[in-house]
Amino acid sequence: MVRKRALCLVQAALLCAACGKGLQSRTSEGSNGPGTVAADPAGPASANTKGSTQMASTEADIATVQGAIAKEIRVSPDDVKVRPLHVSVPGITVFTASVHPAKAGRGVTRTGIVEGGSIYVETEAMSRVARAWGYGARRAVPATTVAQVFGALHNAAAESSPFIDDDTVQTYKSVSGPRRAAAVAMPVEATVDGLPAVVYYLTSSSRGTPFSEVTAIVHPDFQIELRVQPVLED
Amino acid sequence: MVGYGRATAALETRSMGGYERTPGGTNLGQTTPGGGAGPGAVGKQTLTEQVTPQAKPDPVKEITDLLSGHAAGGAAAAFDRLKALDEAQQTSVITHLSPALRGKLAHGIQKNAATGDTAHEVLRRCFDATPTGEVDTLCRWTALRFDLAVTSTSDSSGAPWDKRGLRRCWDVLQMLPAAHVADNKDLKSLTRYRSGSVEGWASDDGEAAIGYGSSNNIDTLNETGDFTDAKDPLRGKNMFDATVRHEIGHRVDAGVGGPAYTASDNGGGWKTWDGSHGMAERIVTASGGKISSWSDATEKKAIVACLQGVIDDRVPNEINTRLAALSFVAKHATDAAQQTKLDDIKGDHAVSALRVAFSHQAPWDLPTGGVKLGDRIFQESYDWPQWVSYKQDSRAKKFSRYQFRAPGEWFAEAYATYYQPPGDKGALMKGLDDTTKTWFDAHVDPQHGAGGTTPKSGTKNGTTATSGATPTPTSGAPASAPKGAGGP
Repeated sequence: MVRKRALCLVQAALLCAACGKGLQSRTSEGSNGPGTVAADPAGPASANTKGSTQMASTEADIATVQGAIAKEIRVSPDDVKVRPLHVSVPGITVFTASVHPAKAGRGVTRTGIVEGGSIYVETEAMSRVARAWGYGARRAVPATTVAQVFGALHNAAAESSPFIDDDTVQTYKSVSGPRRAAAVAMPVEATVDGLPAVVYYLTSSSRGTPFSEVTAIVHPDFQIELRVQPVLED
Repeated sequence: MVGYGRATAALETRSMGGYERTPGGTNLGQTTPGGGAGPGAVGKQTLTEQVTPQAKPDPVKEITDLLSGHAAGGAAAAFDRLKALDEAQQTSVITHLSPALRGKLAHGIQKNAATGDTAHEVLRRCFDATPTGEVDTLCRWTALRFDLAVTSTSDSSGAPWDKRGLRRCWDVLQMLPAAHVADNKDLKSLTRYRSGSVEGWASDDGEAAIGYGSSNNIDTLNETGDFTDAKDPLRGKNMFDATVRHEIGHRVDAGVGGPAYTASDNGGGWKTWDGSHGMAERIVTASGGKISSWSDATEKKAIVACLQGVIDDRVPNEINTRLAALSFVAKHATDAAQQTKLDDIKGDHAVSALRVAFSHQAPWDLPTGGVKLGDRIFQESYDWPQWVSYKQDSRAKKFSRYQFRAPGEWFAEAYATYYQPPGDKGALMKGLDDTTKTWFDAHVDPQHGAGGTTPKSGTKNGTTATSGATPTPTSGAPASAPKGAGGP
């Protein structure tokens, strides 16, 4: 169950969870055009250089997510547990959020980004991350970092996990079936149709997203094209 | 005049003497307003004909009149009238009503007037004869049949039902025991949300939600390996139907003692922890590896605390960096003794298990379930979080891989398997997990395993179904497909 959409209004943003995979993303009002957001040349390593401003921004973004999800599923904002992904993306907070079933009647998971006070999900969110990084012909961040963020954003309503650690890859090989064992690998840079891409593998808590090989292609306007190939054992 | 069964007194007073119930039904498209001869009858008539004009019955008009009146109970009377018609007439009447009157009829019928096999059959004909575009009315027919609220999910992912989804739900629900559906106090609503794949969820407040999208061909979409291995009973079965049964199963679980069974060895020996507190200690102990027998108590405490941090923060990708930062191994790059210690820690199966144990890694999807510790698999089943462990050897008799996400999923998948048509209830369990089939017969199914998975026409939730009845496939079936089918 992969969903994509971008919305301006915070409370409307999580409507995205309702959209089916393959739906066209909508561009937010006031969205920055390509290249208007400066990439952080230092990439993830600069995560601790922003000081209190970054922390305050992250806290505000967390509150944004809490408010949006709380409104969506009619719980208190305090019931929404938000976990920022510890990766530096200038001006953007990548998050995973969950609500305990004791509060919502069922477990609720949401993933996405907050940028400028608005929430975006899936390929729209990835596109904004790529733009913030300035990712393209210049590989502004390592493939592992791209996979870490894009993998986390794969599904707006379920957590997904890319393989970005070699020990995890090796462990997975030892306990999975032959096809997945043969396939799983660390993220790598690639070029697809002349465009920069990253190939990575991911798993997901979603029933609809089995272990898959994902090729994320970054277009010149930072639009992200995902080619997802499930790897089944039979 | 032939009597027509269940017509009420109120109906008879309105029916102007009723009408002949002839085989094949009345041609409702040929109405003759005012009675008497129709067009072309001008000319010679006999005296008798003039004296005793026969008012040709017009059920459409009669039911329209009942529904158009302002008197209370018009819908009930109209439904009673409808029930008195033969099958073809019922379909024709519903077809000829205006959308507004179909809606008025559906919404005007009270649940207590829509019980019993006859009413259920009529409701299905009403459903089948209602056009696809009248979603609200279609939902109401379904709601009446199964005594559920039938709506979109209340959150922002909610999507309107459509006829194809409701029809399949109907076919599935009618073959389940009434005690699990209409008479199930733990099941209050059947809802739909928008999704790109066929899926679902169930909530503690009685909601069974089904997700699917316009691109999903729910009539032909069979499970091909996303959740099952080739030999699993649910492989190749209709995804939508199995999902509906699965979600209903969640709402049946607690009421039939599912939690106790799944805690037993026969049910997987599941243990559940709501939260992650203490999980590192449990995992280290279960591993019985070098960490558990670490000679330095302070260091052991630090290792366990480090692993607990990984668990609490849900960051298996940070295991290496966090372990490497422990003070007594921080110089491992230059200190061989520290490197040995670090290798010992990382070589413990507890650490290996944690690398693939989180819910976003779907460990239940692995053929092994993950890294075995003792005789058990430990995993985070949900991200809020919930942790569980189960006996790995119980996977040998699994119905699907997804069954081994959590004890509730174990039961729901078993439920979906038990009521999978065609044939006897639990037929797919035989020879694979006979103990669980026997337990389902005794504790879950009100008919104790009798009755089969295909109700014969006229049954209520399969309570009088015929054992081993031959199913009627409905894949791609038209709206008028016979009820009682629904198998893949």
